[in-house]
Amino acid sequence: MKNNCDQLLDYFNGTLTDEEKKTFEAHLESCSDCREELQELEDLTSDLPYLSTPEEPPSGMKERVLQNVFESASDDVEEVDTEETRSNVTHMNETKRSPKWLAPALAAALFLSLAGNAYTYITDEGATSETEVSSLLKAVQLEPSGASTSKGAAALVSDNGKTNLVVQADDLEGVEEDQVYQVWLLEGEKPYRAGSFVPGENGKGAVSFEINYEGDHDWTTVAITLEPNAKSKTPKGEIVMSSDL
Amino acid sequence: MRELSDAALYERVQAKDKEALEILYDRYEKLLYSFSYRIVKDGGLSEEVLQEVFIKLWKGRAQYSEEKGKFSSWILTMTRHTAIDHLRKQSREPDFELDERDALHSDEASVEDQVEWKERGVVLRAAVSKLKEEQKRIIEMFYFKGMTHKKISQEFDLPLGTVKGRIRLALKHLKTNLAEKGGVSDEKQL
Repeated sequence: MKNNCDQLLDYFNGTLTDEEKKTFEAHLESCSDCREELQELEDLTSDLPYLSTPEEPPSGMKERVLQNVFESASDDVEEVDTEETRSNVTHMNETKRSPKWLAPALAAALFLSLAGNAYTYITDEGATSETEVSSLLKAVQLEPSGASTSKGAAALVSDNGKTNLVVQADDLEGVEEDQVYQVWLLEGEKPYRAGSFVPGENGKGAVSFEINYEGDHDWTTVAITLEPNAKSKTPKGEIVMSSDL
Repeated sequence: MRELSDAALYERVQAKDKEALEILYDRYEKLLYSFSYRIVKDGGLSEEVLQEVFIKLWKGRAQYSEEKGKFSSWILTMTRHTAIDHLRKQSREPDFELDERDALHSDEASVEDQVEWKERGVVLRAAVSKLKEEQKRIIEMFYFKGMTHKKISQEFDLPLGTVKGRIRLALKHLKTNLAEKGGVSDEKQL
């Protein structure tokens, strides 16, 4: 079976090795016959799954599966942590005030920020440190203001010469109409916009913002306010949470 | 959020929305579980398959976009590939053939089972029953057992170059039988 076209069936069944699969996909680009045949196979088989007789899933399957799915994601972030970011993360863990939830929150934040780079690492089980991993410049816990019970974490992450501010927050109150949570970076008293987000129904929200303000900046504070809309050039709402940097 | 389309939910899952994943899970649990079961013939293994599929979905290991067609087809394909993979790892031949097993269970679907699926199944089984034995077998080996091109050629004693044509012919016959029934349309969503 040297001819690429002969791999169509095995490609359709997903039984090719990763390498063969890549080669075949490249072949597909240039072979219209294979593309048509593949399409035809997909059409001809599209009903077959419904040939399965309905089976009752075992009890508790949903809880088990979802728990494992969500846990599997945090495992991966820990894997990333063991790479170049380890020293920074360790430092972060030593911060005495960090309550327990900070680790997962930051993990989530980091995960978002690293999504691009970490993706290869996470997906490729055999991958080693070849993959570029972003480095964590600074991580802080955001302190709620006033009566707010919201929690949050912020991290400055360097990635390919760019600096990203990643913010993740929990237990946020829902927003009305055009309201958004706006993140600000302050240099002294001067606020710079640094991304906005709307929390989900679960009260969680996150944003990754690429800091590309011209010139050098010495950020002193990161803060989140609740703004009437996403257009505020300066903070109009109260600070929900903040931290010195 | 329950009213959102599959594609919209998938978008939210990419943004790590657990609720969106749960809704997709609820929507597809039974179909994917039954489909996996159809392939691996084992409850525990089917659960593993489902878990793997949803892990891929959650981690973005498998990327869906609307140009790939319907989300349902995409996730069914991913499930089939995952199940076939488990089957190969397990390297045990499942016990049942296409016709026997399907005939055995044909009317056991309970009332709450989604009506379209049930209807579709009935029409499909009728169409399958009209195929020649060899055509049933080749569809079973190819589609539900994920047998390789080479293995099928050995199993059916066919030259490598003939395998694709035989599979295509069997599938086309099935499609023709379905069309005669006037029942199943590709556009139907679960």
